Amino acid sequence: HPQIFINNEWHDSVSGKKFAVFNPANEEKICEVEEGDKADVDKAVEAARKAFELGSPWRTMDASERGRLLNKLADLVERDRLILATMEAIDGGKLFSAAYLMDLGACIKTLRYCAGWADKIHGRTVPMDGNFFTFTRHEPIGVCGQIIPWNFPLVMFIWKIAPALCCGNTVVVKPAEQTPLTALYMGSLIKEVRFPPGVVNIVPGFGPTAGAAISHHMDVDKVAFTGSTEVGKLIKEAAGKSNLKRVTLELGGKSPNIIFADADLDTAVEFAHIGLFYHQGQCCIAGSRIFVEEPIYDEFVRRSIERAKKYTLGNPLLPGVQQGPQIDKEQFQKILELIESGKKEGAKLECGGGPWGDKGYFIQPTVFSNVTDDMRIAKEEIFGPVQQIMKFKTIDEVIKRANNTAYGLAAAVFTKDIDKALTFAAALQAGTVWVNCYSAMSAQCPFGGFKMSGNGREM
Amino acid sequence: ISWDQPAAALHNWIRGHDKVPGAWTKIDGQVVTFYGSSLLDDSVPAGQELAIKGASRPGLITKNGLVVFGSDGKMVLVRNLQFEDGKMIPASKYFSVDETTALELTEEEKKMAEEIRAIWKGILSNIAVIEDSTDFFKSGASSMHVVRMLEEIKQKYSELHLQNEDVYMATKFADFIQMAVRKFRGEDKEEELVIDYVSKNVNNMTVNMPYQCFINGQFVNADDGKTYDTINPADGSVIASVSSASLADVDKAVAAAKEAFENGEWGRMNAREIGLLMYRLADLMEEHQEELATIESLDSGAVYTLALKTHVGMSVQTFRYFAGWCDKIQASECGATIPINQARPNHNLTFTKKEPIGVCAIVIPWNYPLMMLAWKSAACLAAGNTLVLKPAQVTPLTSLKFAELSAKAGFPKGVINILPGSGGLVGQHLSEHPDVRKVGFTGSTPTGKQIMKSAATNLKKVSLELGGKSPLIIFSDCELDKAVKMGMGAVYFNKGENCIAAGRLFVEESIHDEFVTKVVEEIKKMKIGDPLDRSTDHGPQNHKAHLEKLLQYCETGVKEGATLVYGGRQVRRPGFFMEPTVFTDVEDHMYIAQEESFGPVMVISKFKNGDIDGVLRRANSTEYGLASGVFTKDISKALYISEKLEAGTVFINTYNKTDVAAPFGGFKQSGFGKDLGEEALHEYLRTKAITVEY
Repeated sequence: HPQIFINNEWHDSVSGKKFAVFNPANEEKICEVEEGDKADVDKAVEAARKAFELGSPWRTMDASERGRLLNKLADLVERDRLILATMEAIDGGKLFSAAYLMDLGACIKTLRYCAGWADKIHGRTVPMDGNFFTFTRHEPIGVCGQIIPWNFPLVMFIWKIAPALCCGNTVVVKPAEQTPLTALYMGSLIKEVRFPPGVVNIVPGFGPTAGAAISHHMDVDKVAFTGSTEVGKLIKEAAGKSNLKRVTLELGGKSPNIIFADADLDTAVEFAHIGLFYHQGQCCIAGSRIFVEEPIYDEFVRRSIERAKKYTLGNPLLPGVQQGPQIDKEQFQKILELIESGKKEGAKLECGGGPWGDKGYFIQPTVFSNVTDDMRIAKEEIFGPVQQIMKFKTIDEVIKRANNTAYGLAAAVFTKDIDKALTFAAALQAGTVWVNCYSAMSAQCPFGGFKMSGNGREM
Repeated sequence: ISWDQPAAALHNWIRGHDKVPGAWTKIDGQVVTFYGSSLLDDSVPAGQELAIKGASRPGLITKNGLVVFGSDGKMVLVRNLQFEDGKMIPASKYFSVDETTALELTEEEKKMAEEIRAIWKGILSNIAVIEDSTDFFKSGASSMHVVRMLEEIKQKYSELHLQNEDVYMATKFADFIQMAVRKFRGEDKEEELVIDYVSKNVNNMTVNMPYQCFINGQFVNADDGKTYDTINPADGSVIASVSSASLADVDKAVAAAKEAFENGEWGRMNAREIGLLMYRLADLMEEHQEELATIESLDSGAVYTLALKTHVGMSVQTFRYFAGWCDKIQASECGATIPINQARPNHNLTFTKKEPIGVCAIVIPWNYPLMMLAWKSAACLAAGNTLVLKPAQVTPLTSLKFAELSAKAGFPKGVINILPGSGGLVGQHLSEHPDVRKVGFTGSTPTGKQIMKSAATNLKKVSLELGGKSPLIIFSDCELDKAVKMGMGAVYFNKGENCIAAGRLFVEESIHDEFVTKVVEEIKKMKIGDPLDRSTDHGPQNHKAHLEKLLQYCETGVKEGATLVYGGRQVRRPGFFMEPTVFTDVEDHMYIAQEESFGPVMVISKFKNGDIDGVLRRANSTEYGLASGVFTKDISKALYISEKLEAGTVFINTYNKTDVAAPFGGFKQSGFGKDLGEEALHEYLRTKAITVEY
């Protein structure tokens, strides 16, 4: 579906413009999609506002029925799992197997989880002083703008719409310009389930145009954004400059992963590896600063290199391929540039360190050792398959170093010692702390950052 | 497998190695690996002997699998066997596997085989040609590819349902095709649940009613073979002869529930998977709603249209609602981390976990047979418990139908057990059973007291939803027509067989006479008759004894001087029909002002204009406290009254408006513990506080 989805109908862009969507594995064009801009966002917001009016079918629907619709949507996603996973693989460079099992699995679970909440959102009654009593009602906010990234296109789409719809809001979603296809396909499923027109609207387009139109819009009540910290700031600013809309932000990270000598080394190496290299390192929670206790440092580095060298790169649709391409040329070049800075600043390049193949945006799995905290690769979010391994000696030192960042999305500690585990769980400044695991997430668990990794929680 | 061990040890060894590497032994010179073990404590089943090296006694190939014997003579049932070449078979097919002649494929099936070959080719891209002998896994496929293959097949043949396990049992292409075709033809179903039905052609459909005890996933006769007749109250005829569970059956059912809770698949399931099962069950109940409502109408005399909407409709909603709670039990107010004072210089942390209790007994009444089952079972199952349920002796049929649907939804055996039978025997044994940790009961106050006493034997947790004599206060500033309509619903809904029925109406003096006149006018319009007739408003009372009690109740009312304005008699027609009845001038000391009728009897008392505190005093002077209601347009009066009424539920300008999300249960001698809403979950959970120092 290459068109804009408003009021359960497909529209061309007001400007008549289209943009091309590419397969990052071979740099070939997949199709052209209508390019949404301010005028299209206005149309979508108007539809969403109308759907939210008091007395509308959506506002008068029983809460349990909202849950039924979300459950039906989950059924359809399950039905079309193969199509959606394939689309995600060719549009996002995502391994088909990961898309099919992990991404689609998470989408279905999230939809069902939120479906169950729809009729369980309770207000409270409050005993007041005197001859009064108070009760609270938990009401939907209204029209929600939702701007999502390209790394988990469908999961992010579901994470945004499912809670919003569960609570009775209407939404205008802008998928990332690199990966609009699965979001638009969802438009057809939303129509098939028979959400009332205008409840979900999907406007593909670019950040500075369509995204800015949403965040500056005077009739959008809330904006939720997942993406870079840089753009997160722009969105908060836009909200302040326009109508003080509510904002939730899920932004970048430079998440520390601390490995003690008493940890199970095989487990730690594997989790640290997957925690960084999953989906070519393009995860906001990537554990990109690995602090390893001195006695096991050399062994940890040796095993990490061995693990990173095992990869088969290639077309993410093929079985047997373990790493696909980066999303686009811009990211590809940025990652290579950061790898160069690492070499220049004196980190030891243990393996990888360059592009792979002659077509597509592939980067070799890269491991740096002897990384120090002042290097760019230890401070900046790389968003690529580049692992930084640092050394530490004491608990106090590593707590200080781990927290010495503007980010605070996730963190992990590997140790068999319960004292250390709980001490770190309390000391680490991050929205999620994993103990003896990494990337373990579930629809039941709140997710979001501290500090400049954003505010608000999803799930 | 070292064979010189008791059955329990063999069972633990086999299941301990169920995934990797698998427990193996030698049969016929070949290494054979065992998967899927369970203990078997019935009598020795029929089967063909199989010599096992090292075992003192040969095994038996039965229709359910391979039975092997421990050193104590007890049995273990093994479901699947795997041979050295990696091929896995159902153990029941050990002797027949080689004899199975290859199927002759039809043209259509040949086409399917070619399509599947193309799918294999797509996945096994490294293999040049997919031959009959090509092995899926030996060609480099992994578990991931199993999912992909099955999904691709499902896309082409949506009616062909293959499980991952099927692929592991037929790894070679030719075997896979044979297996797929067998499934496609609908063979291979001998393990299906065996159900004997009593069938009836009624209400323009055939209803199929299971009539036996449901224990450990099977319908079985009572241990002692006893049965009793369940009666259609609309004409007094026998519907079916139902198994009457004995003490031995209770013990079996509790043991099955305990095994399912402690060792079964149920205990290992993720909360969300339990939720999915419950959603599926709700869907199945909805699919069978006409059949369920018809059975309910036959067995309890419920008017069919009401049974469809309330008895069955709300049951479906209840399962859906609680299905959604399954994966939110720790997420709501339930599970918490609690900052406690530190034992300096160390630190402390307390966290709480909500756990299921274990085996729960549920004993329910005859007024809303299926809905009462749903109210209690849904919360109980959502919390992760297993249950043994006793329906009311006079209305067992929808519970047994429910058992059938639960098995079809895929609930593991032993999770749900249903025992029709008498309260004195089955209910009593359940409430004092040492392996039952919770009993949930809805019924009369005297029985509730008996259950609480019995529960003291092992201090099981108890929740009781008992009788009521619920006051409904009608002020002159109300919307009168609505009050008349709702007031009548409050009394006559479901023939008055309704625990929250308004047992007393207090009507403000200035509108009293008009209210009574309008009620009588409306009663005259009510159509009494066959509950299956779509236009019927009022059906028969549930059973004969109940009708007789109601007639006596009315006689007492007249004797004590209340004015019988309407009804009070049995309707002259076959069946147990009672006229909708109205009493006025009822004074507080009278029997009918104090005792629950549980029938279509409206008991009206007058109160002085404006005497709010007086009427409140009278409304509260009862040992019951289940529900209550008030009709007034004055918001201050409404809120004041709602605060002062001693009842678990207060309705304002409505009545009988129960909802799956709203907690329901009584005060005082109407019991304690709530059904429905989030609160119901807590009745079936226990809190563990874990405190750690670091």
